[in-house]
Amino acid sequence: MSLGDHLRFLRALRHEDGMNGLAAALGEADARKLREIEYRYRDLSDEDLVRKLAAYYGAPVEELMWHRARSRRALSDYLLAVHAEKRPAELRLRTGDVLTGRVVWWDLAAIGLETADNQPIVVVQRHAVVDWPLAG
Amino acid sequence: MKGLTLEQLQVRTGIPVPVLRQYESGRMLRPQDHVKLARALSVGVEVLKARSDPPPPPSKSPDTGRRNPLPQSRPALRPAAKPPAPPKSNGVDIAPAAPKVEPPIREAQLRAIDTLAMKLGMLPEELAADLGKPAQQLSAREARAWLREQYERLSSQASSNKMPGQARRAALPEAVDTFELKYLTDAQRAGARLTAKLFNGEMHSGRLIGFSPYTLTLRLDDGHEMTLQKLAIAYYTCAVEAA
Repeated sequence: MSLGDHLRFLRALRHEDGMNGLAAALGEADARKLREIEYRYRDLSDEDLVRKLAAYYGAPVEELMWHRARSRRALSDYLLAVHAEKRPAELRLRTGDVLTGRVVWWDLAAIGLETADNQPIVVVQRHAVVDWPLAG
Repeated sequence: MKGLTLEQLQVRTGIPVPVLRQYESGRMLRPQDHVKLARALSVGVEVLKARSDPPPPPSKSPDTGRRNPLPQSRPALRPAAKPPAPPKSNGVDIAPAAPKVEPPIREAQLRAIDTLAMKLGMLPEELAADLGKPAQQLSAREARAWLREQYERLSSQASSNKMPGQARRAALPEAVDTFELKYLTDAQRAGARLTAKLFNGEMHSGRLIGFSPYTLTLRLDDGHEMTLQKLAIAYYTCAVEAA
């Protein structure tokens, strides 16, 4: 799960925080950078901001950095590799489920996964994928 | 306006010198200034109007994308390229209406024609045949007309290739939601039953009756409708129920 998806999840759990309120709480001049991270999945490489976000949400900095390494692009690279090599993909979801199957398609928002022969495909929302085998 | 300085003309007409200077360099005459100038120069208004070019067509130049900054209602008073010896009228030189010379094709138009020809896959000889002469010999007006025609052709081709309601989309899977959209469209048409698992572990199942990029709407077994936010969904499956 990318840092943007994870931050959106953390913010949703707090309910009361709008983007502008979050920016104000972090001492950011405006919410532009935060919007770029959450909505557009931009890696702004600002470790200071990551530390402030971790402190605000009461999460370890390492946790946010872990998500930062699992960007949407990294997931796409993985899907492309398993699709090209005709290997099954293994996706661990935030619900705790681990789904394994052939990648039929993927796009901006979802992944079509064939988990068993002659069964309807499972449409996995990208923002629910927490982890997958990283290359290397 | 030989024989009169701009300052003198300003005194006679009340038109500021900078504006007069702009008129000399080709700016359109304001209608109210026609009379003032004609009176000051002791000539008829029609003499001044005769010096004015006809207004250009009110269209956007396709080669540059610039709008003509001059409104159609204002005739232009442009200096003639090589005016013949002007007759004198009450000590003030007034040039007669100069024969119209078609301005030659501009550099930007030449580049636009080359680019467009490349886009249309035209060979140089095909281009020359289509233009009727080498591009360099076209006038600006002819070039403008040809470019407009080709752009309109390209644009009508593009719109006829597009499906109704189809927006412009990038071709990369990372930039589109086409696959999920198609999957849901097929599922809804087939009257499929959708089962979704949410982030909080809840499962919801019902017939898919609508969707948007951010939501799915189900008709539950008890007849109620439920709209699920995709952000709350971890995954879902669709299955067509046996009749």
